[in-house]
Amino acid sequence: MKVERLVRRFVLAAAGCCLLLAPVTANGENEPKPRYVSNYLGVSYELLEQAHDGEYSVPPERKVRVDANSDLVLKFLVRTAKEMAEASPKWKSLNKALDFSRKLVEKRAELNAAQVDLQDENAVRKFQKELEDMDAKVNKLVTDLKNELGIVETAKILGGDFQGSTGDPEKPYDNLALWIKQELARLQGEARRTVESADKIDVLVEAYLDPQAGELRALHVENYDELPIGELAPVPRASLQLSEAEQSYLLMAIDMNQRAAEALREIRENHGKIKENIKGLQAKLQERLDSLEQQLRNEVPAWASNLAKIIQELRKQAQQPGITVEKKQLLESLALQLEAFQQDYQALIQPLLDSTSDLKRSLASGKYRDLAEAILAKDSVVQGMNTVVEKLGKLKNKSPEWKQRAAKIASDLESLRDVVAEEVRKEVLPEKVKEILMSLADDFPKTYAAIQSVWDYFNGMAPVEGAANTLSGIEDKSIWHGLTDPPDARIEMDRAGWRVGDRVTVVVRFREKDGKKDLHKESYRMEAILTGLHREVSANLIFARASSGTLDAKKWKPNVAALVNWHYYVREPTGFWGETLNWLGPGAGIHLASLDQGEDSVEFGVGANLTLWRGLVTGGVGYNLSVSQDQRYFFLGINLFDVLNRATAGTRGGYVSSAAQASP
Amino acid sequence: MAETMPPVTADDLRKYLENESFSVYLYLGREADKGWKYARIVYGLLARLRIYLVEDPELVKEWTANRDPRGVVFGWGPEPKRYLSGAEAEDLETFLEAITQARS
Repeated sequence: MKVERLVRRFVLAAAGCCLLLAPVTANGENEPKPRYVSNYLGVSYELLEQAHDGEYSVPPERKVRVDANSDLVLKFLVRTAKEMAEASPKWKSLNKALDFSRKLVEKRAELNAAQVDLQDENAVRKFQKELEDMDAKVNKLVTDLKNELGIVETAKILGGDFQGSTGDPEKPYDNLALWIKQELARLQGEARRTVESADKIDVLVEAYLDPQAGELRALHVENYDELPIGELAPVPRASLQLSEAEQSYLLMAIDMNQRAAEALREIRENHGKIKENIKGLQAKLQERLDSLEQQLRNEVPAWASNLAKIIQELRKQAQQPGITVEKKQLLESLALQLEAFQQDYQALIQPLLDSTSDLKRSLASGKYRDLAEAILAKDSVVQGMNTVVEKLGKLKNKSPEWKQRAAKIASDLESLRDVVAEEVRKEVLPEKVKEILMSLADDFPKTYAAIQSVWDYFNGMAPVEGAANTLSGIEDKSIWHGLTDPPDARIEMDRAGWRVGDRVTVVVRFREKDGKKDLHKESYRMEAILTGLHREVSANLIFARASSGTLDAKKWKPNVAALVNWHYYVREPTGFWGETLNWLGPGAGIHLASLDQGEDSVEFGVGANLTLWRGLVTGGVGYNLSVSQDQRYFFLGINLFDVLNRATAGTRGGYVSSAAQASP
Repeated sequence: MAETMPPVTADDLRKYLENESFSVYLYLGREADKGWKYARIVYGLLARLRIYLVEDPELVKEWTANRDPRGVVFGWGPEPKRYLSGAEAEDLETFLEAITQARS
């Protein structure tokens, strides 16, 4: 009953959040939006998110959220040497200093020429105040110069003691103006040389989609590649219609959750000690794997190391006088079965145990904060993990054969009771080893399927930096442009076939025209979201129980539900409530769940649900359509895909809205 | 303007110090000194500053009070506001700050 209360409280809390926060839809004030303009060799470029609610500048090398139906446009601005020089911060500060010193020269001349009535005390004080004001401005000029150039260089410049000049120290403003003009000419020269060197540089814009479900792939960038343009498939904003990408995600997510639910049932059925709960899912899978390893390590190695001796013993027995042909054949068959086990042990179990030990050592080395980081880090344990998963797969495939073989050995031994001594029979197939071999086939496949499913997910998350290498063949379709006149690059995200939560990376690459050597690269990393009022589709692992009925129906059982929730995302939250709404991500919606509360093998239920953290945790109530009484059920659900995404946050980082970025 | 003592006399100086619309700085040293160069720079930067290169310290002993300074900084009045050592007079930032503080 405790959990039922918990579900009720969750639903009430989520409903409260929805009611309280739903009216918070205020967008940002009319503050100027931050701009993130990069420069390389006289070319300025800026990535713009052209969304339904406006245009936003996307900062490079940071992770931001962008609207899933926006266009991403990388705009280039080629500048002349003069424009380039004038755009440099140094150009601006030099001109500012020149203006400032001109004003000071005029003021000095005016004050020096002023006639003051020395008999008028007030007039003298007023004049002195004016002089003090000018003194403060002079101090500021010298301090600014000192901060920029150091006091020694400042003194040299003001004293007229710099290259090409031996000025009069009593004319510091003239000296400074001369030095500034020389510097401005130098900057222009530099800019001219830079612009000239741009003739030798090419630029390319690439985009990659990193979906939550599926493999990394290149996206078409208008003007920069010959990849297919893609079909127009905007992510539905509020309707119940599913895009193709959402359909394939949903199928995959349902499959993954189905496997997780089955693994939980298997664990519960075979290992009563392990209690099911949402929090410990990953721990339970780990525990199951540890338990398997322990079984194999404790009993099997000792038996396997003894097999050669046993086989020899059996063959020696077959040569004894007085042994019938039939018994000889049985003894030989037994020896062959054991040899097959011996080979399997050497080919499968021993390498699996070795690989598992290596992997555990790597993970326990403290080098990685969690499994996700271990997998995604540059020196990741991917290879080791791949080996373990591959060997587990082979073990799983072999286990039914072992079950049959163990049964055959047991029956052969029974027939050889009068020939093989009891102590030898015990050694041929010890009872515990027999139990392990017999149980593996029933015990393990669903756990393996769940591990495989999670691993497939991680395996598909290769870092994007490697994209250029992993997506071989893309390079042939790229179109490089000279830096003197690069066209704008456009990526139509509503043709990318992505869904909410997928990630896209846009990379701008500069390289030598001749040597093809990469000179400069800048990346923009984005996550797809839907802003404003929108709906999100997901599949959750749920724990459901009937509110009344038999004891079995009232047990919390793992199942799967497909959900649709409506949320509101504030693009430019300005205050506490807007930020809280975005953080809490409350939503309300409907679901279709598979259930296990009656006699039918397939049961479905439908109902309403409330969710927090954009679908991460869901609670709801529904009606089982497959039973005629005690139809009502409660459930608590978790979005496994989201959990895995958040588990990788340490290495992939959190995303914020492009509009919510602070100025650089 | 930058002048030298002598030919400017102590009486002349006394008269100049009476003018509250000017401030005065005395540099005791030689024309080639860095400290005198900085005095000329600051003279060129600020308005209403009179600077004197004192080649004969005896002429200004009334204002140096046996302190043997390199620089004597006056504000808007006839009394010295600050005495500068050689190191202070040869640090443009410190020197400028001393002059402007004396005038504030």
